[in-house]
Amino acid sequence: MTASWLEPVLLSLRLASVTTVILLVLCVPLGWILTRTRGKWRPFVEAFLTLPLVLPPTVLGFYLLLLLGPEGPFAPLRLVFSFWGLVVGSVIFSLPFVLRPVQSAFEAISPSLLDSAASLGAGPWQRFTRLAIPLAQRGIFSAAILGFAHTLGEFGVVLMVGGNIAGKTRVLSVAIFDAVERLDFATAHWLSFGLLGFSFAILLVLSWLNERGGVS
Amino acid sequence: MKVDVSLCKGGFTLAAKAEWPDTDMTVIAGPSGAGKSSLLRALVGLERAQGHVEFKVETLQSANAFIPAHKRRMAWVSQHDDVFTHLSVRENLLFAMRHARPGGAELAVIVEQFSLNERLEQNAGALSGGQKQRLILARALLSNPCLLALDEPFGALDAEARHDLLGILLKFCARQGLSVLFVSHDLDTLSRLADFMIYLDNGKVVAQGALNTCLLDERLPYRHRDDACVVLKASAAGYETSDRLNVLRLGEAKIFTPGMAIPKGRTVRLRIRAGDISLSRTRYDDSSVLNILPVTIKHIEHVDGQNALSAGLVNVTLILGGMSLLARITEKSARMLRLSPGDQVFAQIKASTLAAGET
Repeated sequence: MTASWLEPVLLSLRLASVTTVILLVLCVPLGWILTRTRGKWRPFVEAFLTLPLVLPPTVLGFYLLLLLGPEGPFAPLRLVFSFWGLVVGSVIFSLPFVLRPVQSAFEAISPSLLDSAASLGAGPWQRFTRLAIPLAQRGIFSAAILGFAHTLGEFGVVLMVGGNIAGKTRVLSVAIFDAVERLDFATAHWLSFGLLGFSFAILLVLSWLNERGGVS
Repeated sequence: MKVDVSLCKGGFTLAAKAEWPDTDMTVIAGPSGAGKSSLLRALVGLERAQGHVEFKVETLQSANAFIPAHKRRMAWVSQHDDVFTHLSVRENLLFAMRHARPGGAELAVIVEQFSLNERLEQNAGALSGGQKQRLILARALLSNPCLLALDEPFGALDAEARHDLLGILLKFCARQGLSVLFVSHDLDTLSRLADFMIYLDNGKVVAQGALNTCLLDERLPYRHRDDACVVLKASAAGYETSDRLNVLRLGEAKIFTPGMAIPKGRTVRLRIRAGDISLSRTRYDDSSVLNILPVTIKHIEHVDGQNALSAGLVNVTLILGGMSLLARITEKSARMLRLSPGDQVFAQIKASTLAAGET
């Protein structure tokens, strides 16, 4: 019993942690570039990166399956039905949830502050690392929490890309689905209630953060 | 600086061509919406304009080259309180020093001059408006810029605080030989700081020249303002200790100003308001007015002022040994004295209205 519910929980936490780290590494520079450039291509890039927000996870999962599957261009990476396949799916699926808050935190920084720094001799990299990141710190932290929580709760993409392999790809949400299918309502209750409480706690922390410091 | 730039931004076109001495304190003046701030930003490299910019034999921008702002080393101070709020006062200053050109002022000296000693460890975001302005200016100077570019400097401060800060700035610039390029429509600020003026209107340079020439330029609004004035360079010739009066030499003429002794030989800036000059046909020797200067009338005109109070007033342009002064008197006085161009008259300036400033 213990192993049967602990395994998906640990797997979900691991997946969410890895995904969040990758998303931060991706979204912090990406959000900065999107904030600082005003090219004609910007709306297209933004719309494309926001797609996962509105698409049904099954659509996303379906295309990922095609891309990563044995017939797809990324077949040699053997990502389908593996943990790293889940990571790829989660990163794409949760990207807008991290990118958006990061971007709005960067946009809240006064352009004249950055221009002042430039005129003092600080190059683009220094302005990014010494001013932008510390000033957007709170927004970046919120984004990380949101990305983590969102990855914990995803289902469709995970099921499409990872399937339901115990200990390998059976994450929390899939385990709940599995339990319900088996009519094992006790396990479903435990897992669902745990996820509910955890998600609520996370959102509560976020809201406290926002209240304490306003929008940073 | 040699400038020929154009910039199109949201329906507004800036096309400015001007040239001024690199060592001068230069003001970009003009009505609001004239493109002053955009021109300043273009010159320091924060705005990508088309054209050519040269400063101290270096080409900053040409058809095929553009030196970015962080390599131009022209410290730009905006109208906003641009302190780094995540850093302490000390860290704000160290930020500038980290990127500073070698040979700049020392931290301790600047901190002392700007009275920031007691606030060093405080978070910069927690400072008052005036303290933030001090910090921003101190930070800009610590970066040891080759030019200080100020956009409406200290506009948000009250007159006294602005006065103090301008004083610190002027002292620093005189000592370090730093030139300043600034945007201002405040006559008080520009008459205390500028040597040279670029006047912009609707994106174009309408007039450029030495400050006093521009203050008297008939195409510009200054000579018709209530606070019309001239700014002349005089040199300290002595101090009458018992009366506590400075004796300044203004060409051939002697001028008395009250105040602390100015070291002999130093060049000072003398601002004379048009309203503080009265005219007479003969030289009074029983008046309280200390400064009585023989002048020649060059031109008389009605004051084209914006308010009803300027009705009935005339401007009389006066020549004093190659320098121009402006007197504001009533039309009635001009008629009674039968003043006309070419007449020799006496200009009387109360010493108490004068204050010699740093150059």
